[in-house]
Parts: sequence; C-alpha cells; structure tokens
Amino acid sequence: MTLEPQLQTLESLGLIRLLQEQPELAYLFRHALIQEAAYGSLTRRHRQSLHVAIGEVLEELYPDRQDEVADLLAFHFAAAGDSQRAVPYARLAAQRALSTYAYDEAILHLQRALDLLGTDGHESTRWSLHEALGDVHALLHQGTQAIACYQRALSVWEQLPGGDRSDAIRLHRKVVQTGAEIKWAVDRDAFSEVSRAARASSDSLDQSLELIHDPTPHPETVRLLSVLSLASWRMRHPPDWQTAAGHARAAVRMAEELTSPVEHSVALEASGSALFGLGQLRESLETAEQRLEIARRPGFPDEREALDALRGAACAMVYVGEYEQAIPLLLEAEQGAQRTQSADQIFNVMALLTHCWFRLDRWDEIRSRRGLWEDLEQRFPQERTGPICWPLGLQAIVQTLSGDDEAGAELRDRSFAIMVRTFGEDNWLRNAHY
Amino acid sequence: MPRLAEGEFALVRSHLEQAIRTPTDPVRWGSGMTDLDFHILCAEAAAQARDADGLAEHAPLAEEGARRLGHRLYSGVAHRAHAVALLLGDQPGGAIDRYSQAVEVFATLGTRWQLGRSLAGRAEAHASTGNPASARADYARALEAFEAVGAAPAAAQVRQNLLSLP
Repeated sequence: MTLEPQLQTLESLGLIRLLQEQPELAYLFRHALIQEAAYGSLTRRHRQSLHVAIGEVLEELYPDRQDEVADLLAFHFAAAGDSQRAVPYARLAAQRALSTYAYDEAILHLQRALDLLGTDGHESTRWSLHEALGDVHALLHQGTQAIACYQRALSVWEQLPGGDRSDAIRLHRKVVQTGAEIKWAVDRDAFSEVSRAARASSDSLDQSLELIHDPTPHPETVRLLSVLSLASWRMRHPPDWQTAAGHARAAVRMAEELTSPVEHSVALEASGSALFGLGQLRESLETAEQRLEIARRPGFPDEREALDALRGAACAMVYVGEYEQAIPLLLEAEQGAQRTQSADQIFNVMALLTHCWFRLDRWDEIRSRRGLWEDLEQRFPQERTGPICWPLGLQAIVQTLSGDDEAGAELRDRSFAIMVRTFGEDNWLRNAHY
Repeated sequence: MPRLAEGEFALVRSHLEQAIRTPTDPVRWGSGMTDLDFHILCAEAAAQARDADGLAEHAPLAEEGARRLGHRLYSGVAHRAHAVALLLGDQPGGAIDRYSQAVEVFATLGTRWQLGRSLAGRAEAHASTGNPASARADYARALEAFEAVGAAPAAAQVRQNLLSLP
C-alpha cells in the first residue's frame, strides 16, 4: 500500500490535515494530543527505527542541503539513539544557527550534542564541542560561561592520549582573551573569579613561548601574540605597555607575512591598544585606520572582526578629538551591531556616539537616545554589554546643564553606584573622570 | 556659569589628581582617560573656580597637549582657560584675545555650549574694560547659543548679566 491512500484515510478520519501540496506535500496532526497518542502507541524499538528511517530519507533527499535540515537530522538520529550520527548534525545545526546570529539556538544544539556524548569516551569530540560552546558564549560576551566551557575543554583534552598541544595553547589563549575582554564588564567580585582562571592560563601561555619563537608564521601564533599583548596591560597592575607593544609588533610582523587578513586585523588591534597606552594617540589612530582598511576589503571573511575594526577606528578618532569624522563610522557600526545581534558592540557604539554628541554639544541627540539606553539596560546584564555608568554620567551632565537638576542628580547617582561597583572604591576615578 | 564652591573644587581636584596617578586602559567605549583629558579637566575646573594657581599649572600643559595632538576642541578649552588666567591677572586685553580664539574654534566646530561660555566670558572681559556695547553684543550671541542648545540655567544667567550692564 502506498503512502497517499493512508494519508487520505487519516485525513478523512479527522486525525490529520493537509498543510500544503507545493513545493512538497505536507500534513499536520490536527491536535498535538493525537500526535502524542500515536507516538506513545509505538514501541521504543519501532519509534527508533522510524526515526532512523526519517533521518536516512532526509539524508537521501537533501544530500547537498544537509546544513539546512541539520537540526531535523540531529533530532531524528538523537531520538533513534544514534549519537554517532546525531552529534555531527547537531554541530552543523549550531554552525548554521550562528551564521544567522541565532546564538541561543546554537547553544542549544551544542549542548544537545554534549548531552548525547555523555561524560565518558569520545574525548576528541567532547573537548571540541566544549570549545565551540565557549566560543558562542564569548561572542555573546558571557565571559564567565565561556571560560567555564574552555576549562572543561582543557580538562577533557588532558585525558586525550597524544593530544595536539597547539589545541591546549589555543584554549588557554581563549581563556586569557575572554578574561581580559570582560574586565570592565563584570563587577569586581566576578572579575576576581574570572581573573584567577585567566592568570592560570596566562602562566600556561608563558610556558608555551617556544611556539612564539617558532619562525614559521602561523595564524594561531599571531592570535597568541596578540592576546599576550592584551594580557600585558589588561591583566597586570600597573600595565606593562612596553611588553604589550613588543608582543603586538611581533604579531603584526608575522601577520604581514601571512595572507590572513583576519589575523592581520587582530594584530593591528593589539598594536593600536599598546600605542594608546604609550600615549601615542595619533599613531594609535593610524593603526586603527590601517586595520579598518584591511577589514573593508572585498571578501574580508569575518563580519564581527570587520565590525570591531569600524568601532575601533571611531574610538581612536574620539581620542584625538575627531568627533565629526567618527560619527558616520559609528552609525555604520551601529547598523552592523544590530544586524549581528552583538549586544556589546551595540553598547560600545552607542556609548561612543553619546561621547561624540556630548563633545559636540548635540544634547538633543543624547536626550533622544535615553529610551534606547533604558531598553538596553533592561534587555541585557552588564556582562553582555559593559558598565553603563559612562553614558549615564554624560546624560546626567546634559540634564543638569539643561536645568533639570532632579533628573541630573538621579542619573549621576546611578552612574556613581555602577562605577564604584565595577571599578571599586579606590580605582573608579581614572575611568570616571567626567 | 555657577562657580564651584571652594570645598567642592578641592574635592574635584583631589579626585582628579588621584585619577592621574591611576593607570588607564583604552576601554572600548572610549571613556579611558588620557593625560591630556586630565589637564583639560583640571584647567576647566580651575577656570570655573577662578583658581589662578590651578590655571598656571594646567592651562599650559592642556594647550601643549592639544597642539601636539591636533585636538581642536581641547585647544579651544585651553584658550578659554588662558583667558580666565589673564582676566584674573588683570590683563583684560589679553583675555579678550584668548577668548576670541576660543570663540573662533567653537564657532567652527559648531559646539554651541562651548561657544556660549566663551562669548559670555569675553562679554565679562569687555565689561571690565568699560566697553558695555561689546559686552552686550557678546552676551546676546551667548544667549542665542545657550538657547539653541537648551542650556536654560546658563541662558538665565546671561539674561541677568545683560540687565546689569549700564
């Protein structure tokens, strides 16, 4: 008996209904309870064999579009208990979700893959899934979760006989990078926890310096040097700007030998930060503009890095007082940040725009954004964005100078409370001079 | 501009001086403080408090930093700080020159609040030289700038100053 008469019978009994005939025939259960009852009436073995059959049919039907149906394939092979086939599809589904900026969905797919693998065996797959999960959390600026994932990846990697040491170095590099990047985004207690993990990884990286001295240019070495540069100032007190500049120069030199524009951009960011720290603000701007030129070339493959290069160039302009020039870059970056759903970049760009408008006495534009700040504050925790004290402080000044002392005082007090919470009783001043 | 009370200025200065001794980071949202920011802020605070010592210490450093970096906005602020110092030193002619340079910078940049403050300062200098007509013209322009940006308290102060002119 073919499928269609059976479907028609079910339809005539009112159990299912036709959803569409084109482009592909599709039916729906009339009620979820009918589907549940039908599913529950099958034996486990029968259910699993049906799930395998569906998965295999999907594989046959869409051999060139498996990424589009990867979530379905992962679901059916997982329901069939076939983790060997389900896990790669879950990973593929996560990659596809990431390509459309569906970060939460990517996390669900990767977590599902890890659940399927369990806690024993499959070390080579498990550590890489933990790393991938950490990468998504890092993109979301969820630093504490990201570091926890990287550390889990490291502990699984240690159980792997004959594991490639460069993988461990990369994981340590990501721990340090993530820890350094969220320094001012979390409160002091959270940061001291994060910084312990980052320091341990930083020590481990220091022991891996032979990789750096390998004269063969390698993209991972460029990233490692860039992160060591970042850690030299972000994770040290006082910052060691000379060491930061040395690592950054080495990263840029190596990146220039490679044909990898993304790593070149990463190295130039490290260099620009080190130049800032050394007080060479014009040179820092030149470096940021060079980075932006690379990131704007056709075919530049990393949209998030390109967005950061745009923000970075605008930020460097702000520091030398080129506010008018920075604004168009920031408005462009704002669109990109919205498109990629990057909460930290939305925050950064809006803060820089507020700074520019404040310096240019464009108070109406600052006032018009107040609702957007409140929305951002409600939607995301500080860890995902950054401390809102700076733009709140600028708004407080505008309100006070406009004659609304009450609103100004309220904003000022909120700004002050965030500063003290984030930077500490003694150290908030340098970054809160307004 | 309402002046900072003596105690408040001392507190601001103490905070700023503590800040400059604390290492800074180039934070992504652009609020990291540079040495130039520090000297500009100290010069501004000293100008508002009419603190000749503070101006003597910070205004030259602010001006040098702004020149070296090509920071136009800060060069205007430094001109204004020097103008206040000259006014305090009983040199209204020099103060008017410095205020005029500040006015030129801020008019070019279109920064209305800064422009209004510099015009109001120049008006005060004109008044002190017994030139009420020039003072009146500058106050009128300052009022226009303050009203355009929505600086109600500063606009009210300028209106009061206009009324007190002979």
